[in-house]
Amino acid sequence: MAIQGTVPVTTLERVVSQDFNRAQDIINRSIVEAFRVWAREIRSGLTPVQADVTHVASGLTVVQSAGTNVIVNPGLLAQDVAANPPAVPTPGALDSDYRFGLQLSTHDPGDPWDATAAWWLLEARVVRTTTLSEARDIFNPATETFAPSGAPLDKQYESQIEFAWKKGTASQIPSPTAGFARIAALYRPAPGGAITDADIVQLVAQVDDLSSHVGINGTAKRDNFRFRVDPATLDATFSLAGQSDGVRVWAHGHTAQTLRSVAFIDPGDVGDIAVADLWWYVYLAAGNGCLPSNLYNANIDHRGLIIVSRTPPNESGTNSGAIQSPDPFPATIGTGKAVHLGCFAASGAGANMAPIDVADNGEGVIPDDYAVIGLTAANSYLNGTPTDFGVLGPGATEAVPYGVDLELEIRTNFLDPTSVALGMFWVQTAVGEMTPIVASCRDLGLWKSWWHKGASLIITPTATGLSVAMATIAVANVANNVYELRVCGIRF
Amino acid sequence: MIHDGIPITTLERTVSTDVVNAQELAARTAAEMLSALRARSAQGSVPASTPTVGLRTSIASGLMARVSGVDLVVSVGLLAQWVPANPPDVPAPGALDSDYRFGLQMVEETLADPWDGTNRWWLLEARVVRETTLEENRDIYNPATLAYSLSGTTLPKRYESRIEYQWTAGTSGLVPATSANWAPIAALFRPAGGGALDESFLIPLALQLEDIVAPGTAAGRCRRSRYFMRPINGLGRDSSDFEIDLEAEIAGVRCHARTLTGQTFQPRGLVVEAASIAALNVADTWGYVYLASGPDMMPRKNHYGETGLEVQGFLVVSRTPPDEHGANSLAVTTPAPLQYVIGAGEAACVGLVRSAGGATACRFVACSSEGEGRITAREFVNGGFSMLAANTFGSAASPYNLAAVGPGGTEDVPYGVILRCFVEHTTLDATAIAAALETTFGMGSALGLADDVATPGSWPRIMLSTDVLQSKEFELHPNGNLSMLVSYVPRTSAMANSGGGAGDGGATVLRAGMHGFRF
Repeated sequence: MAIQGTVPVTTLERVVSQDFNRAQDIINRSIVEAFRVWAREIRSGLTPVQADVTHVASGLTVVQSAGTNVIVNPGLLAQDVAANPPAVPTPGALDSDYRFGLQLSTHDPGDPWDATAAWWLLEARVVRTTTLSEARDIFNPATETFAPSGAPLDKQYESQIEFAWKKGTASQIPSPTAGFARIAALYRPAPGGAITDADIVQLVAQVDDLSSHVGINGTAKRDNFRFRVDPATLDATFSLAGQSDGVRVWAHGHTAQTLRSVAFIDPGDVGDIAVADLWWYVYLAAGNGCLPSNLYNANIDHRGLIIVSRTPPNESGTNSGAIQSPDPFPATIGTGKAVHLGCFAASGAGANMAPIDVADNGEGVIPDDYAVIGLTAANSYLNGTPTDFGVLGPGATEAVPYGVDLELEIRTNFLDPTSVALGMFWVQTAVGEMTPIVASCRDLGLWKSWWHKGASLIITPTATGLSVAMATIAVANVANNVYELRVCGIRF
Repeated sequence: MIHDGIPITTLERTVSTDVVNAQELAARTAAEMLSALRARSAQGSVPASTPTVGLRTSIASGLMARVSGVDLVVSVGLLAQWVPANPPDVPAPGALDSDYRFGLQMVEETLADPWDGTNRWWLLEARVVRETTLEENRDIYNPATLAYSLSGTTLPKRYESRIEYQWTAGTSGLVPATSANWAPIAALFRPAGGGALDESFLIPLALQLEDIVAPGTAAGRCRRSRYFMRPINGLGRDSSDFEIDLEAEIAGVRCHARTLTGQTFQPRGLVVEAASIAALNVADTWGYVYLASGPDMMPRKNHYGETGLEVQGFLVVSRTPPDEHGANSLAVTTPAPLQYVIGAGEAACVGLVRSAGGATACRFVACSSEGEGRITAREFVNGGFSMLAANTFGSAASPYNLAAVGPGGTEDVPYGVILRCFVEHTTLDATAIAAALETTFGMGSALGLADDVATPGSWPRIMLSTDVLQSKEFELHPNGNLSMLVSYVPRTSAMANSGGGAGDGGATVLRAGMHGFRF
């Protein structure tokens, strides 16, 4: 007898129908529960949270077929949803309450086009399908004979996948029906016409999208940061990967992309899109239970949403406030649910971005001098005036981005041959504090006044206030504004 | 009954097909679950335009070959395959079957020595087959007589999904390609003289379940987690022998290579791509060290004859540089005896060598496990900077081309790394009072374009006293792809009585070079 769950039958024992049914149920339970361990999510914290991913698939990708319809590739859909009789019956005593359905051949859900311009959501759920019914002989204990059952009996159940189209609007993909998983979205224009792969957005989360063990607070992990805004095109190429909220997300641009665009920008921040010199933060996020791909254009391979927002990251590398993805997939991503993987500064009023280059280990350079800040020097080590590098909001100077360590240079701007010497140190202050924090001071040494000189500084913006201030003090009789302070690099 | 099954009503007479169908449904569920969890992850990236569902053709758990006396034995394990039907051993899937299949091997399998009296590599291949493991006479019901009678001939009474093996002969230099619908398990070299089986010429090849990394790997994306690579001759000296510990994930699998304790290996020895040997025999040529797997294959020990080396996957040194994502920018071919073509983007660059000429020697290049590296200082330019202006930063110099691969290329620097560079005095100019240097760099477009330095980045200015030899370190971030060109203009300015030439620091008192890198 097998070691796992079974129904033992003794030699020469008369097997009854329940034995057979139970044996099948127990085997199925073992298999389904073995699968469930891959979709089980444990969130650490004071009180660990355990849950199953509601919908997860392996396969079921959707492609166009001859331009006339779409087909769903073979695959598996697993769900942790409430019982849905009769299609998904309530689990019996020997059943697992987790369920998956198989689709062993391609499925054609048809073209949903209805002569209007609309996004269509292809959703699916696991259903139990009776695939064979037959009349059978039933034993009659009174007559001790078998007699035909008359009405056909269910003779084969198969756990399959049921698909349905749900209509959205011309600009938005609709939300799914309760109990259904989002598989894909299709845009059909009013005139109809051929369906192309570019019209299809993959939505369902795959088993291999899931990452292990996450924190209750949505701690992010950043695996890859390659992000470059080319100074020639002022567009971005990127290869970004991270983990957040229990899934792996990534985006890989094959060609330079204009990220300063309504296609990527949080709708709540669109009002700032034409404002020069603002910093923008690039996030990747799951779409609240699904992982879109092919949502943007054919030159971006991605899993998850790419959202460009003015909301800065927190110290954990996730979004410090809720952000929203633009149409056609308007999902609100809660605080801490997106992973921060890039940033850029608006260059002028158009769509351009200032050059920036971050290597895949998170080391970056900013070959641009727009962040130059004139410093006022005073003839004393005391009473230096902090320079506020950045405060979010209208009217803010916002010279630096948040969420990264900043590599700065302070240097002499012109010479003062009349002075003898000067000394320099810098301090970092907390938000709004004008009094230097002594503990964070760093001596930059003696600078002769007839030298051109520079020094490199690393500043870590405070996490809670997202603001940095800096003071520089000169000694000797030098004039104001003989120093420049500029951003020359970043570190994730 | 919530999942697949054959419901039986109370008091119903169960027929034989009920039992058969129920078994098939259960087997189908188990096979599909295995493919869903592991084999299908190969397609997890779901590319942008036309997503495809692909399954790994062959994958194993266990089935490791080893020498046992005069025989070869293969350990217990599982082989899963997604191959066309192969009757009669692997019948075409029926209506209730999965077309994915796996076979179990519950006891060690002993295989005979394939030696045929010639020098030859042999490939041990395997496939899943259905075997009849029990046949019996059974009573068969006769509806005409309403009685049971013996079947007469024996009937198949138990099918088991098992694993079948075969040897395929190669040549004295190469392991043969895998036969269609078979999975590579191991390669064995047998000399013409025969003799005892030698473990050092037995290479496990099967791709194992644990080799697969969970996330679908995007096109060209790789993760590199370890880079340790150190020449044994020490700082600054040429060396043929290295200690290494390299690890990466690429194309959905994880690979590593490391020297055994106290052992060394020669990166410019037996692991160099054949097409790169001639170029790397020229001194001061860069070679790139890659890790990769093969087609449904993961070589799991030294297959190059480097006795001090442990490899999981292929270790290749090639002239092909990495792209900006750290993967090979073009296809590379692994050396004999396993000559496989690794497609572009399917190998992870984990190290560098710089030829010292000859067949094996390398310049000093050391890299820590965190990717911080040092090389023998490599001079780019000496005295090529102009110092024409006084008291003003500016230069008439042109951007300097640090790298161009190919014939005639200067190739001062490698690709795929952040460069750690320096600028230094070479001579003193006692007549000048002081000088400052600002290093600027462009990035992103072709070498020499004015745009490169129109809005340059810059590193903090350094004060260079004219009576003290000084140097300054700075970093450059090459784009990292084949079109990578790095340019920079060192700007110099005398602080006082400067008019260019002698007395202002002159035109030949500075040089720039590279002395380190970061992955």
